[in-house]
Amino acid sequence: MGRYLLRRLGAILLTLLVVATITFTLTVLIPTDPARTIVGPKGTPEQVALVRQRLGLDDPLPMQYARYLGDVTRFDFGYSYGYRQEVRDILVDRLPYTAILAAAALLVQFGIGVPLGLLTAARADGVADRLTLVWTMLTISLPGFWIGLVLLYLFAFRLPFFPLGGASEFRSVVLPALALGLPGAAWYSRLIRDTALQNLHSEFVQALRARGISARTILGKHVLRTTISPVLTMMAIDFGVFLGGAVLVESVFAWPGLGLTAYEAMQRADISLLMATVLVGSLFVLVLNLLADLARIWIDPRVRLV
Amino acid sequence: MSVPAMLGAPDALPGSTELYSAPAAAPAARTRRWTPRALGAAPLLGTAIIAVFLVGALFAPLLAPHDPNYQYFDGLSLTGEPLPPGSPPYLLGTDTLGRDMLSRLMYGARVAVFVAVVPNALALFLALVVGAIAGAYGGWLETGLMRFTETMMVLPTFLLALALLTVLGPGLGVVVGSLVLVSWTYPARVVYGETLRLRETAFVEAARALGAGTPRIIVRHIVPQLGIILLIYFTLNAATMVLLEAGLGFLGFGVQPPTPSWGAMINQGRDVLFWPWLMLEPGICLALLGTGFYLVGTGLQRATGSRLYRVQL
Amino acid sequence: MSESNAMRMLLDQILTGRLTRRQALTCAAALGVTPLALSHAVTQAVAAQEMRTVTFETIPGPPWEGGTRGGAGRVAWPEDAITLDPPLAYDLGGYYGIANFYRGLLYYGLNTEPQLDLAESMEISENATFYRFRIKPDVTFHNGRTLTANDFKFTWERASSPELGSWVQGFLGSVEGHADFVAGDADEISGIKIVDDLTIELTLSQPDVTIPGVLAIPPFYVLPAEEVQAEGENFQFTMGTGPWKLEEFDQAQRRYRCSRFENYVYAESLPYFDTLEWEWGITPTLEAQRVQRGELEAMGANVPAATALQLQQGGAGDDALQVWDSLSIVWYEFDVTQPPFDNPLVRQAVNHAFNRDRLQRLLVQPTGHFYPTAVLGYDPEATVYAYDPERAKALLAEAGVSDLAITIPIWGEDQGESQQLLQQDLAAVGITVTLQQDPADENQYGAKLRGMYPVWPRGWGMGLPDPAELYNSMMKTGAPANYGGYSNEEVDRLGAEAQRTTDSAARGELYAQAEQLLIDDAPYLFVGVRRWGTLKRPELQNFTWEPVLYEHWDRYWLQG
Repeated sequence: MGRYLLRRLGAILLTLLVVATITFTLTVLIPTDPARTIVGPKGTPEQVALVRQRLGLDDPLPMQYARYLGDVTRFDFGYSYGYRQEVRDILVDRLPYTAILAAAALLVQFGIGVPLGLLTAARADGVADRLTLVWTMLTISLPGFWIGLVLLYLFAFRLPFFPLGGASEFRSVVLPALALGLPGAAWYSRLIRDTALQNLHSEFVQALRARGISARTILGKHVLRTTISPVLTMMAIDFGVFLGGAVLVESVFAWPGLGLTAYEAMQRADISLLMATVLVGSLFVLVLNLLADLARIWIDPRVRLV
Repeated sequence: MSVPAMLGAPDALPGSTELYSAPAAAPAARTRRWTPRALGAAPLLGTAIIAVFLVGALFAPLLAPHDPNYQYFDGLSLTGEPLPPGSPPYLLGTDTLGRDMLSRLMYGARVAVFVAVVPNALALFLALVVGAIAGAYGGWLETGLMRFTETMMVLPTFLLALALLTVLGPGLGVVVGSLVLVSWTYPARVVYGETLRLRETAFVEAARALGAGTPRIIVRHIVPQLGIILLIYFTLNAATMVLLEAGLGFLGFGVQPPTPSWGAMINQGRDVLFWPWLMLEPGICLALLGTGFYLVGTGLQRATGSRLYRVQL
Repeated sequence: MSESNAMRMLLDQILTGRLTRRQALTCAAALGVTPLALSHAVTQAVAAQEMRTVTFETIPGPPWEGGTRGGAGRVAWPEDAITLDPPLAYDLGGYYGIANFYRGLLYYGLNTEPQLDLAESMEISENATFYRFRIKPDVTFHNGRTLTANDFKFTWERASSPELGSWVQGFLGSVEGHADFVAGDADEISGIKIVDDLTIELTLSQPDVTIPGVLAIPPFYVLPAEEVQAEGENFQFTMGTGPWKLEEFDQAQRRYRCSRFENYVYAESLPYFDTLEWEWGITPTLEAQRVQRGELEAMGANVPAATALQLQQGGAGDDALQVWDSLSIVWYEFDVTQPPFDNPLVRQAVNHAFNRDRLQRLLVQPTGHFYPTAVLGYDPEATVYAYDPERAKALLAEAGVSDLAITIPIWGEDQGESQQLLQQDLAAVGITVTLQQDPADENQYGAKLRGMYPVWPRGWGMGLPDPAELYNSMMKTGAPANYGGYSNEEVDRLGAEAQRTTDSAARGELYAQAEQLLIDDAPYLFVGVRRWGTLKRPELQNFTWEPVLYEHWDRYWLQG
């Protein structure tokens, strides 16, 4: 296990390096000049040149790259000229919002998906099952941002239950969480249903029943574990993805999370901020994937570790 | 939930090639039941839906009642507002520049269908090449290709695609490239897993015994077996491609105006919720087309007994 | 008669020409005054006579009828205030936010004429090469320190310093010693002279009547010299002499809250609201919604065109929606150095082909001018291009141009509605337009645009509400924001002369002539000026605005 962990951590570091290199290359290629953005449209070319020099933008590329890597390892993500702040401070500001939305979306997925899945497993092929099937089909075909827009239209614009975006009050998180979480909730419910049905009919469980063990114990001890396992795995992965920045939904709701920050940074050619958000987003995805794998190993005894 | 994460997530998890409990991609039964009875109503419905959009897309120049890009003077109310659905001659209303929504939706279907087919096929081709070679050859080629795939899998590809589009500027070629980039890794894993399994089968061993080289084995024996899986994957991935392009269009990175694309149309409607048809109509089209693909895809799954996912829809 | 009185009478007679030179010298000798001393006295008397004390109407101020004290004003902006450091803020949120916390020697009241603010009086020499300002006594900063002339010198030198890299660096370019200071040869601008704590003088190396206008814009509002120097990078740029004092700045919640500054210089014109709350990061649509729900007093930002359109239909209360011409202009610029737009006939054809009126839906006032309507030199009688597609086709035929195909960019995340309208209009006269989204904007590319596109959209928000800015930045040959390569000697001549003219009306006339030449040459596809609008709650009273400083939150109050 220890060796496995070490190998995975090494892989994570390597991947982060790849991500950093790719984003660095892309930011070099972006046609917008951050110096011009800082100076503004009325600045003279001489002023732009001066700012470029001060930012070190005219230094040779390998030097800029090395400098960047060196800074990052010391958690210095540079200075955002778009926001006039240290990037680190911006990230610290935005991360809680990202985390809150991610957690809320997961709550929606779990809170709606699991009970619904168990229900439709218990009454397979019933009315609820068929309806859920249709609902699943629809929500998977719909883009999350559109679901968000429709929710916004119905419950914020027409019926003023929720604010029209932003993150100024507690209620603000409800609609974006639903937009992010509903497709996943549908998916989870089907996943649970199928896994539960599979397990309930498996030989293993039938043998237990033959031995007289109650259905309840079977459900609680045996089936639940294997049923929940894939869901937990997916939740962990989803958490990572959400933390990495759900750009589209955040954009619809103007929710100040990492995704929106990355998108805004891209628009303003705010290089330091862009690189930092992509790196941090990737870090979350990678770490949570690792945690998902570890959880999987712990829960589901059938998984072997090669 | 990000759709790419949902699709093609077999038991094997990203970043952990070693964790294989059971390859879920294996067709459980070899018999293929193509009878309509076995298929059920769902895939037929799905095919019908896809056919409608396909016809609309292909014959748009003939079928569209108006020019999708022309800003009609009477396309706006006297006060300059777009017309709601049910305002003849613009059956589904107009947009903020006075263009006919129905015609735009039909032309938008062309983009959607193109995106559902071309980058999809390219992504699967790439997945096939990478996965099959890695699985068949083994050794350092296998390790290298699979590590590469895993690394690509965990990258925040959507963000990188956005960055790529920012750098290169939007354009159909770049959009196709970005879509391929985002979606080739999962099928590559599946192909790899399948190739590993097929490698051990009797007929492949027989072919080897008869002196067939690896490339020949791949092409003549392995790929045909993968065919059905790839087909299923194609249909299910088609919807994802359409959604992704809509997302890119929504953020302003899709095809250039004034060419309509459903995602860009939704974007135009996002700030003007008091004219809701602007964003509702393209969204409904997306939902219908996506559902169509899913119905066909799951029908194929049921018919062949293969289970690409752990979920039966 | 005392000697000084005699001297005064003598001078008076000399100046009115009643004494010849000979007689004057004889008289002076009789008074015991040397010719040299007399000469000095005469020069000084002449100079004194040429100074006129300028009086402006002081800022009209409260108490207005019915103003009630108290309550909180809440307003929101779409973008983050990039910075509140006056010379560095070119974004709108910062530019307007600055006027809450700071004030300057002059101020734009409710018209585009600069007015005295912290200056008690302003004297200007006839040839506009010398200014003297007397500062109001007992003006305090938010921390209680009294304002002195040194604060102004510090502020203006800081704004002009090359290290700061501000866009207003060159605005005091006519002041003596500015060039040396910018070059690094001097560590002060010699032309800015502190006479005493409350008097500051500006000596210019060339005549410049735009100085009062320059000093009235937010970048030149006064900063507390000692505090800025002491705290350096850590100085929180909200400590000034303005009517609002910062209470809380919450970067995470994206808002700041300020309270009424009780020691504001205009003791009888203190703001009505107790507190003012600014939020940013709220999209305009959301802002409009909040205003309608009573969660905001007024929008800080510009109401989007579609929302304005819809509100006008919905019959939002009488004065709830207010729209006016801003100082922000829009146009398309041609590359006049290469075909096809090196031919003026083709450029004129495009101007005739475009139906600008359709842009009214996008909240653009389609004047067909270059200058905004509210600025000096705008002549409503000028000849602009009328929508005439037949004439356009005739011009194109005359130029021998057919089957023209061009590419026009759409900048950044703009939806390109204007370009799409243009595309359709040009198609009607036989010009095929392809639109291309480009992630940058015109200022990023600058003169490189000439190799990239034949024509591109431009926008410009005036920082200094004077046509001199437009002339210096764009109309002049080789001007820094003249990307299309336009050059007309006569325009250059008119602009240079206007620079030297001190009479306002004459200046206006010169600039108007320059604009007419510009229009005739058509280096641009002329569109017009943006209209800005805002939505306010019906309860908000005395809501006034003007194109330069936008909203004046110290004047508004809530009724009921």
